[in-house]
Amino acid sequence: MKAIVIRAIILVGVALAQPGLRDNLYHKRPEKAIPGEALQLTITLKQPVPVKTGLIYFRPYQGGSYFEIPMSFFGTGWSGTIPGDRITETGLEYFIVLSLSDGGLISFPAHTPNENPYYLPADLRTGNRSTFGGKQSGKTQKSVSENILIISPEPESVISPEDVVIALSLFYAEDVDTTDIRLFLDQRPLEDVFYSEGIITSLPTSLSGGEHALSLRLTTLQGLPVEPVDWTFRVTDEGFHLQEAINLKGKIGARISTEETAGTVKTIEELTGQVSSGLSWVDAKASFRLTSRENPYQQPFHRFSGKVKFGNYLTIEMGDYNPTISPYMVDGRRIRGIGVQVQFPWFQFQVVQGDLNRAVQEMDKTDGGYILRTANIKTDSLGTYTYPLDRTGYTFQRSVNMYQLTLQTPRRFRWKLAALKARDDRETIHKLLRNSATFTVDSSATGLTPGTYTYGQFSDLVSAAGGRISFPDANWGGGDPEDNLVLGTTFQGLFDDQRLSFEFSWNFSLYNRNIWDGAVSRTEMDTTLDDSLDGFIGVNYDENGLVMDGSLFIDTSKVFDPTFYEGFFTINAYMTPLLPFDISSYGKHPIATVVNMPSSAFHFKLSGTYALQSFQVEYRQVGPEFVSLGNPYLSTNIREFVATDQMSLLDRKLHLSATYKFHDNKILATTVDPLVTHSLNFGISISPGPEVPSMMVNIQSIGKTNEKKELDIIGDSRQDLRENFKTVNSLFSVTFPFRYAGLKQLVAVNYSTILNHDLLKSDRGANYVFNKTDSDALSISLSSRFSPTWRLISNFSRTNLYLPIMNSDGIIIQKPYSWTAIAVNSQNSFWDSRLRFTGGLSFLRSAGDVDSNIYGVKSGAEYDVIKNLVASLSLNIQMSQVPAYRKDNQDNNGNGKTDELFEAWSLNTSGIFLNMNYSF
Amino acid sequence: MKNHLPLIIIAALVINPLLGASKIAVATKVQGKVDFVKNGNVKRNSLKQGTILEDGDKIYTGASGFVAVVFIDDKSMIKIKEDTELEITGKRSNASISKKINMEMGTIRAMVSKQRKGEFVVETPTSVASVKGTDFWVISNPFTGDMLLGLDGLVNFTNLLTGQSIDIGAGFTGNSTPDGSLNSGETDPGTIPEDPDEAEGAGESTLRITLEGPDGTQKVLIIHYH
Repeated sequence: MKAIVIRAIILVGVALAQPGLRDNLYHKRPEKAIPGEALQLTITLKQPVPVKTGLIYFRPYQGGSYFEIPMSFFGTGWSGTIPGDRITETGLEYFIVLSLSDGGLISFPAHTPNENPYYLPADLRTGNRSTFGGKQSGKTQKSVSENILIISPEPESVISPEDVVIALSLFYAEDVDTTDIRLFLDQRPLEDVFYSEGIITSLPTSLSGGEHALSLRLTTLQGLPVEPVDWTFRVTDEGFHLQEAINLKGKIGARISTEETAGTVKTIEELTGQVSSGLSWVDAKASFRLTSRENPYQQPFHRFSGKVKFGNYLTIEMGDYNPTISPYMVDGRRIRGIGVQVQFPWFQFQVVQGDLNRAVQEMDKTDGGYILRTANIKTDSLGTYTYPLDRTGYTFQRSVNMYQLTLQTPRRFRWKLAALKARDDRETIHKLLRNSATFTVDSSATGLTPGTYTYGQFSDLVSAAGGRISFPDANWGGGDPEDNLVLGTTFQGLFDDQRLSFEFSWNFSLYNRNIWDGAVSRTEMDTTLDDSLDGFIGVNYDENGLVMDGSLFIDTSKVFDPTFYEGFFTINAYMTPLLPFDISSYGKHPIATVVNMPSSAFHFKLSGTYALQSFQVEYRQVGPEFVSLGNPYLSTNIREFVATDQMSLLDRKLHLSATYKFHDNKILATTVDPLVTHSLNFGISISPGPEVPSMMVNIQSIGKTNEKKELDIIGDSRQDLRENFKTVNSLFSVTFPFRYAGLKQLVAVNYSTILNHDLLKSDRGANYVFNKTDSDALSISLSSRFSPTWRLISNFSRTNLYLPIMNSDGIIIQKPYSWTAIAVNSQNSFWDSRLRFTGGLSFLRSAGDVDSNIYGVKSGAEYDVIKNLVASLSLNIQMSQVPAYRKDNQDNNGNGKTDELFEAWSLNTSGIFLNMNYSF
Repeated sequence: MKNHLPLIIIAALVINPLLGASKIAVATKVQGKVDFVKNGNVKRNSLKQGTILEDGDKIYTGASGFVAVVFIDDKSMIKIKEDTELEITGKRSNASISKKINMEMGTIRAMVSKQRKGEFVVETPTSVASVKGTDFWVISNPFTGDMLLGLDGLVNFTNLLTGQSIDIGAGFTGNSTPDGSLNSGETDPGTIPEDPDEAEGAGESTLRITLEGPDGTQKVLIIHYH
């Protein structure tokens, strides 16, 4: 054989001159070449073709010069064989040229075959490794197994061409010769392969779309071959993008339940649904709940909400949702409206607009909308009665607007400025209700026949009696419309690489508890602090008309006009505060006066996390007159100081904590008998990790005193209202996981006690009852798994209360009450977990003045009807037993019989629940 | 001492590389602006695909940045989304790499393989999440705290201020705040961050179009897409 590069080039173009004859020839390319094994190539004649000779030209992949092998005729075609020692790991390139008897040439491939030869990758999994031109060993060496991890790309994965990173880990490969690393991509060796500390990486470029094969070849330090690592992945075609997929998912569910409790039956039907969809740049979701509980007499039970999120920068929420601004304004309370949040790394702005309450005209009961104020019935000199009718049972529509601006540096400072405006709309409540609304006229309504009447019937009744109805258009007794404005600012700082944080928040509220009559006018202001309409506020005169000492002399013509600001806040005599702070004390203690404004709320907090421990120090104060209608459950009139430190040891398996807390209500200097609480808490918890026992011990000591030193005199008697006692709460908890019969079990034990000690016991009188209740509680829970599909949970608990009472002998004793509960619940699944059963038995015994037992049974099943459709049914029933009823000679169940067989038994609760949920 | 100086210098030259940070992970995917700082350095460099990361390296992603990092012992992966700052630490032993992510802020997804030794730990200024093997998201904000969304398995989630711990399972979200509160509830699907890796690579689909020629011969055109 000899190199014939020049000759091959001459073939170009000549082959193109034979298209017709070429169609009568067929060449099937082998898929792969096996190194070391001979490869036969054939040309089959579909029709007779005058072929004179045939030649195979081949070379190793990108091997330069071609070598030729003659082909021979075998009856139906021509064939030639490339020797095995010429086939290497790099693969093979070849083309075939047939010479015709008329001098023509036909080639495979047809066009410029020497430049575009066929490529056959080497099948390295089965072949003998051989170096082209090297010596064939003639035998296969046994390969060695090594633990080699494919890091990237994942086998069978689909990735973009720009994301192709080849990485393998030899972390667990112990005996590999790292100087002999050969990595092949599509059977072609990669040149830029890097190795460092057990990591092999390579970044191939310009990968075409389609499937690609990777292969790693290594040897051990002893020269033995390591089992090759072969895998494939797919590269997506660059520039080929179908329409971006919309991710749509959601679920819809229906629920029907009927429950009976103490003779009252409640049936609820609900339909719920939620759907979410999104592209890479926008997410949208919506949800709803339609329920049979919805009625016009209460706040809405239906729920509708929608949310659209544009990346991380813009979020719009609509319908029912729960915004959070701060605990001093709104903190997760439901509103119905719209909220917009714009978010950038340095700047955020949040707007919330909606209703905290919807307008409710009345309650669904007699006297739920109208009420006759019989105590205020009047009669004039002619004997004509006036009957005062009033409105009740209503709730004003309460609108709310909130704004919050946040400026921040992402890792250091954040400053927030927020405002909340909430107001009741008095126009939303109608004076006259539906015709069927009734109210009671009792016998104290002189001149009227007692009964239940509608407004129309009552009008007729009063007219017939010759009386009059007094029914004002406003200022009803069912509640006053309110107005509220809260302003607040918060500063947060992070220091020392975010290990130390500081926060200060200050908030101030204006609250008006009655805006029936709107804002006060300047004329009304004149007589707010004094009785004289003299153009000045706060000027008092003596009987001689002379100005008294201490008068303020505020000229009403120079003060602002409250009616002008009514759009922001309604200023009148019902607002709190009338003055933000006590002017008289400002001169002596200006800082304390401002800080302790009764309408302010603030806190400052310092917390840090260092190595093994964390700490926090916080002072918080909420004035007695601070009001936010957005968070009406905020505790007010408190001062609180908390210091806590927590230490983590043993790789955070052992936690030690200590907390000191001071709490009182002595914000105003005028507070009488403030209640002061000091508490100290120590805790230790050990949780070594999953599947090992953990333990927790917590001890808390609470001291409370009202600082009274003397007994109070009430009427003719002296009463001991002093409080000074200590409460010690102890809690011990341990969880103990273990294996039984190869399956996981878990035991959890909790024990707690509350003990109270009167620190003034030695000073008390003999009849003093220290009315604090001691208690202890023990609970044991065993979670057992008997098979992968069967789980049993058993619970035992006992709670004892010791109520201090005075017995018939006048001796103070602690009367015990106890509750003992035992429950067993089982969960089991069948049919490859498509059917799941739950069931349980429970027993509760109450021991005290009257002993009673409650026996309960519950059962349920959940079934995957089809994929994503789940139906469930559950039932429960609890029967109550009072054993003493069998022997008390009384008819306790009202059936006319005494102490009959089932007199001690009654239905406590029962329920049926049916659910159907479909996910998509 | 003077006689020993050459020996000391040679020893230092030999030992010094050995004391260098050990290589523990590979950046297998990088999108957008992603910087990293080598352990012991202060200069930020642009992180490239295929970069081998060492114990103590810090990664900073920009507004559109994304990077996937795979640990070399067990293929545990963290996917780091935009506006995130964290440090990757790992102590190599013969058995495994003891991994810990010190996260200052941002959003990551941790897809943790079963750990041979110890736990995979994600620590923020507010909380610690430790797992043996699971899949979860952590969204950390130094001002407002952390949100941990469980996707698979069980994560032990601890508030650093109080030491209180809860276990977060699949489909549940834990919230841990700088003021010490720690609670959990069912995950709102809308709060689960989009995984850029899954959005692109997952779920290859095949479209088959049957073509029929004039002679009735049928051929099938197969299009793979995702």
